[in-house]
Amino acid sequence: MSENIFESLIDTTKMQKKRSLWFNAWMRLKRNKRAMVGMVIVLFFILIAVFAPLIAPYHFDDQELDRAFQFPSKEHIMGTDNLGRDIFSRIIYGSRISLRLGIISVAISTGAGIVIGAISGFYGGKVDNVIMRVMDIFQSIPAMLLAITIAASLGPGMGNAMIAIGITRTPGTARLIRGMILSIREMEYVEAARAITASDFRIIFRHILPNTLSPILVNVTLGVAGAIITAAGLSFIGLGAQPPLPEWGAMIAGGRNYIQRYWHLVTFPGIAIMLVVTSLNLVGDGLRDALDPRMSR
Amino acid sequence: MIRYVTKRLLWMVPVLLGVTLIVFTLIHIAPGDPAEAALGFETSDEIKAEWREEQGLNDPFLIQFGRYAYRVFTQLDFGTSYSTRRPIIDEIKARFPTTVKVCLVAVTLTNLIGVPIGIISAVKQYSFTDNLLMVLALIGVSMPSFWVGLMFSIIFALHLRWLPASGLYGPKYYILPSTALALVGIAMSARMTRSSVLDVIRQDYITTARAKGVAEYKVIMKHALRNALIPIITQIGLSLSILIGGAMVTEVVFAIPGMGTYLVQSIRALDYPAILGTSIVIAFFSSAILLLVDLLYALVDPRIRSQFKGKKHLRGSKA
Amino acid sequence: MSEEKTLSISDLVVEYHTDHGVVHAVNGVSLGLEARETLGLVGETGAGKTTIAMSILKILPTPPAKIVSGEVKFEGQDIMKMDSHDLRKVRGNKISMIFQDPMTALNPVFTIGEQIAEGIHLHQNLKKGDAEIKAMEMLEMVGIRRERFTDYPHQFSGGMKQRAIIAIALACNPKLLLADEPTTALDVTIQAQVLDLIGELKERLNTAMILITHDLGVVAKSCDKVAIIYAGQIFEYGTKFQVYAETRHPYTQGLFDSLPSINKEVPRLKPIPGLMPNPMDLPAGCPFHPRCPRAMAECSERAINPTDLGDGHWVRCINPIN
Repeated sequence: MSENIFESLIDTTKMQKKRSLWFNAWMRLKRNKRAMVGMVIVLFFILIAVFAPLIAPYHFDDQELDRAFQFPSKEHIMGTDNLGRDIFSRIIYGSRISLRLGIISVAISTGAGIVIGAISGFYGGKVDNVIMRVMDIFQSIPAMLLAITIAASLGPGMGNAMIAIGITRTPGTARLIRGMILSIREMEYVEAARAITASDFRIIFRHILPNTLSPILVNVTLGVAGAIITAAGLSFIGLGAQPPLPEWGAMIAGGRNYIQRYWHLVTFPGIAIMLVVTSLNLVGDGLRDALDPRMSR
Repeated sequence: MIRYVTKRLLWMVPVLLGVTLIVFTLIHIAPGDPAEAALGFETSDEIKAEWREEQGLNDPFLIQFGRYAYRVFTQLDFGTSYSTRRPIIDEIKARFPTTVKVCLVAVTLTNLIGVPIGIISAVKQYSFTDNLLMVLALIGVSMPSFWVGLMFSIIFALHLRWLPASGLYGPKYYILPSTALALVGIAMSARMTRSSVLDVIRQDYITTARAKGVAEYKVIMKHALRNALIPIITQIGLSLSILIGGAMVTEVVFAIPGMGTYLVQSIRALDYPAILGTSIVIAFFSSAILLLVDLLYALVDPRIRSQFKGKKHLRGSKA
Repeated sequence: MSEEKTLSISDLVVEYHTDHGVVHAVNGVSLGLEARETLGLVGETGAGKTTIAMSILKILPTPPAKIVSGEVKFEGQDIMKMDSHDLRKVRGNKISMIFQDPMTALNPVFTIGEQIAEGIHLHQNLKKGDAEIKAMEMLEMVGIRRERFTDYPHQFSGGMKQRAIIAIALACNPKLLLADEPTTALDVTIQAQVLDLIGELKERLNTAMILITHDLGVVAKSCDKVAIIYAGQIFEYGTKFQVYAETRHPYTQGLFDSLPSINKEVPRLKPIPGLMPNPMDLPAGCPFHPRCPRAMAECSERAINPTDLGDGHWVRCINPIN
């Protein structure tokens, strides 16, 4: 009984603090023009992905061989590829794949990172030491190489690419969560929760994790951006999405052999990657600035 | 200092073993039959079984790993390539220097250009120059370097015909791949340098220096930069690690006969020993660089240096 | 007046322009300081004391800080109008500053010796080697052994760091020393030592000093004159005797009442009710009126000008204590 009263007390003070924190962060974010531009573009791409079949003038696999290699024109605003497929339509459908690749791989790394980081940060000592050394070893392998090796051993395909990128990003996330938990662990409301003998599980999930939310949010946004680039790289060397799927990296790979005469096969998918990733980075940067209390000048 | 170096060097042993274990495990769980990959479809089952026995593939995992690690660490023996039947170490020896050269050129460009941009941006925080540079840098980190490479070849090799688009037959051939890699690196380095310089500029000791009458450019170049150098060094290590990763894919774009191209070829050919060897060598290389960076740290930061020196003055350092 | 005042500030106004609004940090401060004199600048945290000190050296970070108006005359020359070249000749040479937090005021990657010698080398036309010898002498003067010259800040304790900072500040024999709460960050046992050291060296070097503090005891011990500052305005100014014994401003009185005393038997300390106003949104009229026991209707209606009480004692109040 008394435990509940205490915990609700702790929670209400925390809630008040948090509401104003998020509200202030939102106000700061709204004033950040770059972040707002980024957010609009991201939302735009999300809409495109959701309504792809309605927007795209052609299906992504409509082949018309007699129309192959057409330069941009009224009918095909980004031209057609080696199989006569409309590049614009393929890019629109491709946004579904790229966003999904980015989001799912980051979901994997965030989930795994939270569990590993929470265990490491909360228990500390030997457990922490061993986990962190293992993470060190993983991080001493260049991320792209690790992703390639994992994807190569799992075999080509979207699912495997997501797993590969997810694993590759996990150590960074785990380290972030651990750092947050180490600093929060010492704070008073956690001490208070411990003083009333709340369980470890409860302390981690009810008191600590909610407070790591803002760096996780930033990490997820920037992570999706990074994951999309890595995924494109994997597809480019034939390990990610497989033809005829219009993944942007795969589209670049497909157009690569024809760059001597047809620049448009590789240019437009690249611009699409650049746009999505830039705007995700803008939002991520903006979020980081908005959520960082030191930034309120 | 010596204690620090020894400690860091000793730590390399578990790192290298760990890296080997990770990559070995990954390749071990890969689906597909190595015997078939090595000997081809038509080989009879008996020959395949014999080959497996001969290669020790029927042994328990840990024994296989132990044997592999032993050969790698004592004799630099990474096994034989399935596709060329040559020792993998020979294949690697032929390609590794190329990759190192491409990366070194790229990392030099990255830091020679990226660090000054970051400093300028930080010193002129919120100015037009700062905003412009940072927007460009943000776009820079948002492009896959292999695509930048393709765009470079379209523009500079195929249209303007200034530089060769592929292959590697002289210094000219390094320019496009290295700059394509560096472009992303420069953007990264500029962003990170800016934020570390900004962190330092806000510190009290910068105000102290100004209050002493130190000229503004010296405040930045001496007092601020020396401190910002510490995170910048980390970032150079990090950028090299990212560049090496990027090089794996970018080499393919420019058909450079380096480790990346070899890795991709081996993946396509399901040449597992080659994938394993290439990955391990590159991972070793990048851990060695991270080690170097850590050692450089100690040179720049007196706090780390004295941590491992004597306990001479530690008396005063607590209060 | 035959001799030029060491320092005279008139009508200094400083604002901070932030994302959330304009912070009115200093609102029309005027004060003067004769050679060798010590002025205590007393006020609560956030009253604008540090901003005043940093304005004198013109080392406020701009933006966000903005010096809106005012003159800061040092030996007859207006610092606000100096170019960066002339400013550098003043900073660390004729005017120097001791900072609040010794833990962060020293550069971690240079030796203590290098940091003391730097100012000497800059201002005294000495070669590096000679500057270093002078720096070692300074180190001994503040009571640190010469051998510690090549140590780094992290090898020093807090008290020693503050001594090193004092050495940096006094290395060029400044005419004016700005000491910004030099003991707040130190252990109580070391505070007195450091304060004594500053006082002693100031005497020896004939330096004038502005001592910023919120500790009235410290002021009583080391200052000639006192300025009580609140919300960026000086409320009461005079000699130590005038301000302590003939207190006229209700805020000054409030400060004294909230202090424990050995001599007086007080049943309970009297804190000043309420909080310092938000400097982004100062109340109209006298900024103290919402907390003031002697406030009248007029206090909230118009800006209050200082009243001269004679003998250099003045107070910014229309209903002062008699």
